[in-house]
Amino acid sequence: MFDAGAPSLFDWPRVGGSAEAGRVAALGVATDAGNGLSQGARDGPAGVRRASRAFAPPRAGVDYGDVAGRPGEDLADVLDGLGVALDAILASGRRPLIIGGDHSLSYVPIERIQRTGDIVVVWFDAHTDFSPWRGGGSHDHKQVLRRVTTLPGVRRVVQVGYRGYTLHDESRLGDSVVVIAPGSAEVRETAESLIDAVPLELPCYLSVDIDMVDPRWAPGTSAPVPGGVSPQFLAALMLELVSRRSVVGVDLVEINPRLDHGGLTAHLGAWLLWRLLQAWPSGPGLD
Amino acid sequence: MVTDTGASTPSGGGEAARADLFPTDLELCKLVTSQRLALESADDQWVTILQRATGARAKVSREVYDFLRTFETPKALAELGLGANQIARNRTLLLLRKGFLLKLGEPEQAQRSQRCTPAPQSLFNCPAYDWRDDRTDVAVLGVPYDLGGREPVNSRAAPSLIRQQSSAFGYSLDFRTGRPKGWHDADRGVRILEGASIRDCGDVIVEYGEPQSALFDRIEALVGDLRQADALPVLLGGDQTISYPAIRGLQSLEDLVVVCLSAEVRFDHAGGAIGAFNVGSHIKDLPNVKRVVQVGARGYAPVSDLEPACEQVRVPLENAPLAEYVDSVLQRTPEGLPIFMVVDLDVLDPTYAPGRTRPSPGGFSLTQLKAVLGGLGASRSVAGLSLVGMEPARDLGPLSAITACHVLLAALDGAMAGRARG
Repeated sequence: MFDAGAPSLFDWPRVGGSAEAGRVAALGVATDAGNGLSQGARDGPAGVRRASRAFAPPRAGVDYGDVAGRPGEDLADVLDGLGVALDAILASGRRPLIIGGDHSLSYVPIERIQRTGDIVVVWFDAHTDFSPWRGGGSHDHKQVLRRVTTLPGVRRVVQVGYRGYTLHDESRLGDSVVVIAPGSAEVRETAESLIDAVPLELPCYLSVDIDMVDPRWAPGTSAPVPGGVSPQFLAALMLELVSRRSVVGVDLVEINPRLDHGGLTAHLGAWLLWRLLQAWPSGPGLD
Repeated sequence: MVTDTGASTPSGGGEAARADLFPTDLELCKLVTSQRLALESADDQWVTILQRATGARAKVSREVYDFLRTFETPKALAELGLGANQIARNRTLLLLRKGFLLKLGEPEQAQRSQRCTPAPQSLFNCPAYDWRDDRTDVAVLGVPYDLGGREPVNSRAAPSLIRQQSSAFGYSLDFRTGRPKGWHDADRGVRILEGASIRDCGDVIVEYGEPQSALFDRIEALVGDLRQADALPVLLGGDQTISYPAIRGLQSLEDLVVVCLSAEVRFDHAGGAIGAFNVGSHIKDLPNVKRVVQVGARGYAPVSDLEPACEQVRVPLENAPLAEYVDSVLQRTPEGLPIFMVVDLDVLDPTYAPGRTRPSPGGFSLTQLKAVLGGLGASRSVAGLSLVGMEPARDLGPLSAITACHVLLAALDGAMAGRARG
């Protein structure tokens, strides 16, 4: 659904209109019901679209609008709606570019995409999102990656960005999960570790939590963790991944305009997507 | 809290042992209920009584409460025919000890002035410190005082804001060993503060209108008591002056070096009240403070032109090799003397705490600060620690408090390493 008069991402045509070239489909998920810390990430898609007007469109694409939750609506139902929107995007042959919303949403695109074949999930985040999950039909933004590992088609998960002080050692999350904590490493070293961890023959889904970037540049997020990477570092990692591996879908989550300082984080989100779209989709294995 | 069913004592002491402690002729002595009692809670079985003068508190059974109330008019146990009754004797001893019951003619206990008040939420959710008999490695004390600061930034709110954000870290013990678990440092891949017990003393009481000296005496006494109990005192400020009474107390026990990690330490003339402008001079003037070292000086005039009032180590350059920088800090900090670390958040680059009143660009990165805290702790013995420099009135969100938690963990990690050595 579209707010009449609201900007589209990079001024792309809206789906259902006449000019529909473009292999990338933008989709907003205007919910933060999976985030137990703070409300506000539901305004992330609007904030990023607004900020994206500062950039010339990096390539052609189509904007599918937002999936939104109504007040009090169960998260599981909102995510079902996301699944329906994704089915339409995948059926059209386009690559999904999803703007959150909180991180619980990422389970849905991953679940859809892994139905048709094994994939690797690359998870950029200050947190491992591996809190205990007891099963059932729902999960929150702290448990989502653990639930993702239960999907049969997710062959491997590569988490990059874990930092700070945690109660448990979260660098060991099982055989199918590789955790790369950048610390104060140079970007080249982290990029090589990332590429080494992602098998060449499998397609990837890339999920980017904006809190991977240091709060000095990304204050507008519900759980900032000091000691993060610079925007340039994150952009370099994303570009390295899309140029050397086959990335079939991307999301960018946890931008919270309500906690932002002067739109800084929303603008960062738009800039990251703009940089990404200059190089993606393309690369080995894609037409 | 003491619980007493009247039938058996919680401490497990036998009835016979109790009997030995019962003074002769006490059963003939008239006893009367204290006038200073309050009920905190009551249900069918239990009652919690507070002695308002002393703060003594106990949860007792209804039977004990009823027993206590019989002495609202003075009576002796013998008059009630209970002079030889073991249960009545035990109850009497308990109630006398707590100050709920008095011997007739004995004055009520003096109002003990409270020095600190428990925090509603403790740092890292650690247990509250028990002043009577707790042994802890780290004792945290909030000092919500900001009248010595230069701007009205409301740093009195900082201790509770830090505690609020710190609850995400969750202090806990290993179920089998009872040892504090500490935390995993994701960046270095090591466990920190494993085995380090932490307690929260709450906040020192600040009476508005009282002289600054009364508060500072109170802080000094608290820090002295913690030091005597072999705990590392960790103060959460408050403004830049709160470290002074802690340092004054510690240096009266042993020679000290004070290391201030701060963008600026002021050394104006030390007359009159202690404020942000002259606290440096007051600290330096203390007889057993052998040196003051400021780490984090910045600014654009050559340091030598200003004839600094203390040793200064400038901020490192962005890509300066960390090990060399830490060495340069250690070279200015005399060996063999314990240090008091003042950690002012303004030592960090202002981008870490957006909204500051007086940002001083070119500060430490978090990585650089952690390296210095670790380096100091590894090579020097840390006698005390204070964390200041939050500006709640200017804060744009919780980021300063979150950063303060990370800095505090790094500082504690460094300090504990020092204590382990000596």
